[in-house]
Amino acid sequence: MNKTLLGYVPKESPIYLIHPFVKLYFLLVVSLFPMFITQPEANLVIMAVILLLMLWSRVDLRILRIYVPVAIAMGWIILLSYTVLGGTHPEFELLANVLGIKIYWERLRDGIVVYCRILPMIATMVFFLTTSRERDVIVAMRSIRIPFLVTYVFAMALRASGMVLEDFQIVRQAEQARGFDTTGKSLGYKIRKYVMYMIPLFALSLRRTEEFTNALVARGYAFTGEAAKVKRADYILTHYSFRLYDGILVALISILFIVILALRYGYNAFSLESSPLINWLYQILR
Amino acid sequence: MNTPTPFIRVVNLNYQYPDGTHALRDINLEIYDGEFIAFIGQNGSGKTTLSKCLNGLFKPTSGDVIVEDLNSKTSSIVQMVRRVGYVFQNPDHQLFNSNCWDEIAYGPRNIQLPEEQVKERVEEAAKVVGLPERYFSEHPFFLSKGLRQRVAIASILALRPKLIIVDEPTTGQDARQSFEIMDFLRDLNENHGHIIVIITHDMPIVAAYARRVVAMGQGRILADGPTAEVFKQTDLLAQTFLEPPQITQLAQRVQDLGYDPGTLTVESMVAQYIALRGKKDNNN
Repeated sequence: MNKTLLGYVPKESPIYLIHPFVKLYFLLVVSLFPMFITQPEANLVIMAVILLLMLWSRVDLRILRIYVPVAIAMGWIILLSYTVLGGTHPEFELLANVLGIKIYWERLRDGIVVYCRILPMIATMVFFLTTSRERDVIVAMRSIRIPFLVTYVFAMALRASGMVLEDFQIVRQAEQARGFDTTGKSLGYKIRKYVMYMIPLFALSLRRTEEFTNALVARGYAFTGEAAKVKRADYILTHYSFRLYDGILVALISILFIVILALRYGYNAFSLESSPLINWLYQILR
Repeated sequence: MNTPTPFIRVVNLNYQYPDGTHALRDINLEIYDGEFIAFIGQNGSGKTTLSKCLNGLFKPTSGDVIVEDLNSKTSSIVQMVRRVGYVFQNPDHQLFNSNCWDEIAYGPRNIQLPEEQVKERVEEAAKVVGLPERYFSEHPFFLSKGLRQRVAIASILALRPKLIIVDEPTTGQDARQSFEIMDFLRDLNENHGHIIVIITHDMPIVAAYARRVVAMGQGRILADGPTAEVFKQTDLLAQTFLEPPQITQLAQRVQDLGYDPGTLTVESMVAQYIALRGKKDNNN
């Protein structure tokens, strides 16, 4: 198993055949798809495709369990924001009036549309994080010639966050080893106690930052590259080669995006009027 | 004669990490009252994983860890930590509070003890580790590493566990601090009735303090026995990429002259030298 940014993927996973740049390109472009698609069912199809890609990549799908409560909570927040807290709109179609709170069809519909847009975006991000290692992100950034300074700072942030996560696990165990047990306790209690994690994590991060800086300075590292007076070598890129099928995948993703844009703006596709799900809901709720 | 009841019984223990690493394989082990044990082995041999299984931080993938009458699989962490304490390698990972008093009181408060008992336990633990009262209101992060280690141990002692596991107690300490910590652990073992388990790569420390050694490699127990006996098994130790202390190696090389290959300390070597010299003088 290889540890990725968000879980584990077997060493034999076919995802390792794909160049890191393709994965980053997939994240950046595919997460834009839902912005141009209003139909909830089309966005749900994108999400299903991403889940299938995760299966193909042999990602342990149990990792998704941690997102279920987040997805549910987010759904409720969006629904309440659009309906109960949506305000008064005489121009909209009133579905119900519950204790003075007006529920409009258009607001409910918009809430569902927004929620179904966010879900595939999150799925794309989870797909990227569960299949990419720290180094993949750096390689992808350097492949598209993002300035060294930006990549460097980003790499340090990734490295630091990885260490913080490892420290978090140890700190959690250290708290448990001293009888800290949140089973059956209230949410307020848990939040209050979890804040305590921040103290050792913060102190360790400060000490690490100083060690990082000293270690880099001790090896003549400088952002400007002036210390060595030579062009900086991207050794990390030599481990990867961009193959023909990587190019084909990038082309396919780009074509798909252009097709979506063409359908959306040229043929008014993915509109709510043509959404069977929305029409069905309207028939039920009206 | 009655057979003593083990404090901990580990039966066919297997542990697998989420990434699929099989860290422990068919471990069988018994730990008794009064023991001072060292877990040795190269990095990744399973020492720390085994220790975390002993106090319930890790639940076995298969097999059982039974502490007195508790099975770690079915017991809560609160029940387990009252019996088995675990001191982490880096004290910074386990200091959460803004002063040493609250730090030591954290465990007893977690297990819902009344405040008078918390006070009593904090004072007792601080006294045992030799933490002067003037440090009670200090922030633990501003203490020296040696003192932070003491606060970390005191915070576990306050839970009054029968068994205390100390992960790498001498890492990052100079020789004087290392011996201070080890003397303190020996005192806990001999005078306060605690079973001590240390995880270490420091063979002279093992030779000087541990009475039993469990040598591990690739998730299995390779050797388990009295320290001198384990150190005699040089071929087996080579598998763990560890060497016995130099004095033991010297005794093993000159064992043909009558030296015990299980010699652990310089004092013992000198005593043997004097005895052998006396015998030789008498023969002449």
